[in-house]
Amino acid sequence: MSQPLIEARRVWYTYRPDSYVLRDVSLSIEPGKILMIFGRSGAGKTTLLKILKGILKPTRGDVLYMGLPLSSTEIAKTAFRSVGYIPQGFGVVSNMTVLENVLVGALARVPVLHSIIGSFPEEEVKRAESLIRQMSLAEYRDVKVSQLSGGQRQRVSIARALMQDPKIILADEFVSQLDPITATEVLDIFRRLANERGISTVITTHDIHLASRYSDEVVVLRRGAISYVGRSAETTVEEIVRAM
Amino acid sequence: MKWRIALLGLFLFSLWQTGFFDPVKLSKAGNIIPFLARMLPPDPSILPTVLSAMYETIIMAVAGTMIGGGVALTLATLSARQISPKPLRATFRAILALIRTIPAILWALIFVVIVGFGPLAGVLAISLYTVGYLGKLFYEAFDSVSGEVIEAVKGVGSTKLQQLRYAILPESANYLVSQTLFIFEYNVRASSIVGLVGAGGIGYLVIALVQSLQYSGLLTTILVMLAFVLSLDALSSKIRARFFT
Repeated sequence: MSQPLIEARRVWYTYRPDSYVLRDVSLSIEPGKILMIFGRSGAGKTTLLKILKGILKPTRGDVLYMGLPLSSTEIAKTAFRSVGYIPQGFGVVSNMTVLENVLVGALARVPVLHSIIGSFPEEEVKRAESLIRQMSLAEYRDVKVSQLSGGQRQRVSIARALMQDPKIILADEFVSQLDPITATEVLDIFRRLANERGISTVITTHDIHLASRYSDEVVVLRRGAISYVGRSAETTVEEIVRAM
Repeated sequence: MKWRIALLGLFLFSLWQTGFFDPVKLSKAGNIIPFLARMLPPDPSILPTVLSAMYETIIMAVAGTMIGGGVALTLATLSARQISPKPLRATFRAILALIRTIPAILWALIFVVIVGFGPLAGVLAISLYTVGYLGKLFYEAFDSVSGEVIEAVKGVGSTKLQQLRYAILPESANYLVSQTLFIFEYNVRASSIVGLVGAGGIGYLVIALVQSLQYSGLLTTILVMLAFVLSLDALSSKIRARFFT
């Protein structure tokens, strides 16, 4: 068993002192694996993802990135850049083109003043164009994202996350808003990334039937606590439903 | 019912206090007929002077909007929740509120005293007024940008300046341009008014015409202003409909 990329150890989180959104959550994600986190609305899925990304700090417990604690500023900085994060609405900038959105993923590598005037190094532009092609968006390179469909926007958000050169991508409610065919296409992309490039993915969702087939491991959250952990191949839909 | 009576009472009281029931003043209402008669027909000979003053007014509005818009953008950035720490943004929000409390015509009076009569005082007054209003509208627009988009851009390891450039500004761009167009329309009218206190533009001409009792010239001026303001409204609506809906 290889070292986990990210590990949550006995994590608790509360927005208000009297009620915990996450209660004693422990899980780990290994390289090249797809982990799906199921749970009803309000189960704490988004909060958990934000903690894994480093956007929120756990009230109690630790998050480790490649075995090192995120509480260290330097580790947190490195982890922040190496962990791709796609929020529920994809977080794409609708008033910018597909290329501009994808180049956002390179911002940490480009000098601030250059990026402010929109001047990206040639190799970054070529890389962004290659990712746009991989996501079958070549003909939309200079089209504003506001003119794209939901599935196309989602692929823009994947390309932007990949532009970061991440070791892991965290995707919040990623397939819930898509029709089954588009959702399958998007999940295929993640499977390919895991198999070919060893990029891990954590996807939160409440869509049991479609999503469980594409993951390696399954975690179910119920009212902020883990109620089920298992390998996807050995997990039935009924077990997930019961655990939710 | 009690509220309605109280409201009606307040309305009548305000009319009485402002002289609406004063028979001496009411009897003077008839002056409007000879006044209008003296305005007709409009004086076409004054047209070149009016157009020149109108040109000055437009230039004042353009300069005031651009200077004010630029400063407003900077101050709004420093007042934005997503960018600026609390003490800093509270300070800049207070500065913007302070600027807004003084109307354009008062700013014009202040600048006439400082830089003397003429369009420069007008431009400075319009600029400051624009800073106050656009500053507030801009930072409110920045604050309403989806937290998710900012979170996503922040999530790639970007700096605050990059978040401003690649999330906040593009997401609020349509609103910013639309509000700037609106304030430009307003500033054309405001440029006419600040002229009344000697800050250049068509207002300066209007006060001169009134003082010299040239009412037919005044009508020509009013007609030119009306034509321009209506054209500007139509153009602005078209731009907004074309780009921002």
